[in-house]
Amino acid sequence: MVLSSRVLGRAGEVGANSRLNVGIVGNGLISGGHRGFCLSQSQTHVVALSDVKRNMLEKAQDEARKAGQPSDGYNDYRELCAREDIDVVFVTTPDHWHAAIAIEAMRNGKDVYVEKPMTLTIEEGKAMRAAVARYGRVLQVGSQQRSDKTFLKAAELVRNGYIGEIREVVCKLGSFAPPSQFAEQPVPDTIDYDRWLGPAPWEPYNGERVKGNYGGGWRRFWEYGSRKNGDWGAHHFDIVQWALDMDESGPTMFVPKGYQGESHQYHQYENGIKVIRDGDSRGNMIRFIGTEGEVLVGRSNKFSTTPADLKNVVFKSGDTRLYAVASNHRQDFLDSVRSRKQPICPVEIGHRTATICHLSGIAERLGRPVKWDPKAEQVVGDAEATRMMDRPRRGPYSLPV
Amino acid sequence: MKFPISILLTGALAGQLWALESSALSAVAQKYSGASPDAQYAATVELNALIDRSVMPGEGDPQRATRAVLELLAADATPAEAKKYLLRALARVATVDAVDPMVAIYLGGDEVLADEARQVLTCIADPQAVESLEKLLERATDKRAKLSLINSLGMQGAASSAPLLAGHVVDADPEIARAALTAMVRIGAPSEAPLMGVGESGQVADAVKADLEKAQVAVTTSGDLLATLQTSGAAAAVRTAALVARLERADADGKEALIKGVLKGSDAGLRKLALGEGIKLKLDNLLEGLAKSMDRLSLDERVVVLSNLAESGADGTALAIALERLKNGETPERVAALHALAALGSQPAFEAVLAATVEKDPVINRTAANVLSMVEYPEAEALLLAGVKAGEVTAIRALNYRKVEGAGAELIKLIKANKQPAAKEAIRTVMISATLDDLKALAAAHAEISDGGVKKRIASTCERIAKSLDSDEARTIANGLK
Repeated sequence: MVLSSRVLGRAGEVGANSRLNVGIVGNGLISGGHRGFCLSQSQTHVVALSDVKRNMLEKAQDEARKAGQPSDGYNDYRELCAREDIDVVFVTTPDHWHAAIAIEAMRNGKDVYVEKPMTLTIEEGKAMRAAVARYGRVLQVGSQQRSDKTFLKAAELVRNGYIGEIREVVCKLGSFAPPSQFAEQPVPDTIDYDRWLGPAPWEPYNGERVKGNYGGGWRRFWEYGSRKNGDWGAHHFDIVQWALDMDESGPTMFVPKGYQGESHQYHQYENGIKVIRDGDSRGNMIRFIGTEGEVLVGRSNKFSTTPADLKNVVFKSGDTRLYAVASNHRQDFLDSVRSRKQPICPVEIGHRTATICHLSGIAERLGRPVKWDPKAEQVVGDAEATRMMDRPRRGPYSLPV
Repeated sequence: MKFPISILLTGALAGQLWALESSALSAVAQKYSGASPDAQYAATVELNALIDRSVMPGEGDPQRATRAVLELLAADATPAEAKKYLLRALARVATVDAVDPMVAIYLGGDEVLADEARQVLTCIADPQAVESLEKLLERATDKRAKLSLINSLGMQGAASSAPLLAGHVVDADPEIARAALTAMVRIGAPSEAPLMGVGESGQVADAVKADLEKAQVAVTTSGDLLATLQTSGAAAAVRTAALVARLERADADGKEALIKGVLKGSDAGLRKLALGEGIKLKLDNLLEGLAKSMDRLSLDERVVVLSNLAESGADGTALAIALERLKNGETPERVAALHALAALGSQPAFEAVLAATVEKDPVINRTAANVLSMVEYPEAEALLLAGVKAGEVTAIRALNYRKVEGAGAELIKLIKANKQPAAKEAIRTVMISATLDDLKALAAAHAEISDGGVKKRIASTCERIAKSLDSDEARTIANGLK
């Protein structure tokens, strides 16, 4: 099959240096960095924004206008996804909306950058994986620590045995105040509250419930996220999966704090490695403890090792290198959109990490250990926990396919 | 079909253990009555804990738990607010016993409880639950109710619901038609035939036709769907999805024909997909054809080609393409070419990447530096060491990116010789990668050198190395040079 010039032709659409048209769904707290990035790049052009909070939407539109990229605003994300001229969609809503919006975007031919954790339930992750394959799309999960050179080096040291066999990993997640049941307040006319809730159970409006706030807000509630297991676990458990070479698998046991006197929540892999939540991390985000040393890592280039000179290791030929260019996570996504290669955190990885977040939460809520078969992706021997792999969806909101 | 729950529950709920569970649940439910939000939340936690405990694997009994909750739901004394949370808990544990009571609640007139009851029915994996949902859909008139019930049937995934759902695909309301399509796909119809039938009937609303195409793609297993879609003006997303589906199922000849057909066309999305797949499938002579025609492809397409080169199985041609694009390409394809060279390996690949580490363009030199240690070329270390010995700056700097045994000693020799620019580069490199042994060797060199300027530079370097190594021994060595 020698292809003649005529056969190869020249692509009629997407020009050589053409910009990617961007739509952003969810324009609250977490979207600012993504929006700012897309508005400042010559490779991207923001054309549409969506939010059910009118003031957030108008603020984002104002920002886009000032950047010379006046963007249409939508209350209903489905209208944004239906636009033929959009190439990529950033999904930066609360967690309970991630899967529905991402799949809707993919079935409309968009490539997707979705914030972490990728989903609210394990079954949503399976549905997203199917959609990526079915529609031939690129999907990047916003676990940006994978694009951080410090975490990369930590994972490579662990993966290549520089601290011997791993015995334990400690992850610092912190805690939220307990979810509560705030008093009902009148629904402001600046929010489409029914759509904000979407598939989540009906609860009366309260400003705290819908607030985007790193210290609480909707993140406190099981209905919209996985609390700290999803909020920080999606980052740190993800790095642990990466370092332990478990990206396409996962732990087999999840034990909640308090069960039979356990002082910490943990999950455990089949090979015995325990990942302990909020144990002694020595002030770091993640502490890998091996038979011959330790790797301690956090954001802002926080990195130390035992022995100390281990941090200066230059990897030798034959060492497993995890990723070539640790740079900007969003840039990695845009590069993948163009090259049609897998990004650094594709759907499978995002799904497997989110699965850990969700199973940790299920064990916590049930107050008992949950056994997991990572190959079959099924809970073992617990019908209630099995049912919690998904959640019923409030009418009329459904998960697209 | 409307019947009070109390009638359904009469009599069947006896037993000592049962009574205990029921009374405990009832006591918790009463805590909702007139309680503050915080107290209500505490009650919900307690309620869930009781129900979760009652279905513990190996110890609990979901049927008993179901009946206990149902009894409480039927009791007039149970506060209305508690019922919502009882239903949510029930969704996690309910057995088929809950089907009729849930239907009763659904039809009972309380909008919030009705939807909670529907969600319980959605979670009961039993034909009776499916049948109830189907009957409720048949009598539903409200749009929101129809959408919700259609979604429930999709989640239940029973093939028996397909005919009922197919009837809703031709609903005049696009939202209902779309929901029905989604449910049918979720059910996993055996082929696209039923949906094609709906489409060909001409009854489907114009606003839903694109969704019908997507649904057809999602369930497609047979027929020439791609050709149908390409001639029907289907949306780009549908065409891509159809090609993905077709490639998955086609045999080798079929794949080649599909890819060739797509590359004759001008659909940018399909062409990129076909190029990547064609290279990965190692189609005969495809790469040779591309090597002669790269300039006729768009930048996006060239990047796709480069990104897939390593999987082409034609290393000679692939290497030639990557080297040529690294030399003459635009920045994105030069980055892709560097990655391709790293994966392809060989001496020319290694040398090209090495040379790129000292280019002026920061995107290129950073990428080259990052991929240098990944170039699969067994002689790379020997080549670098020879370069270091010869005082080549590029080789010295490369030691920051690729470890070479014995290079530390060579760097110290360069520092001692103080021949520029090699010595300056050697100091920079040694500061980044030095081990305790290197520090000791450097300190020894310090003692042997008489040039005051060089001694000062070495002492300063040792101090920075000691700081990085962060050990008492290292600090002692460095302090001894002051």
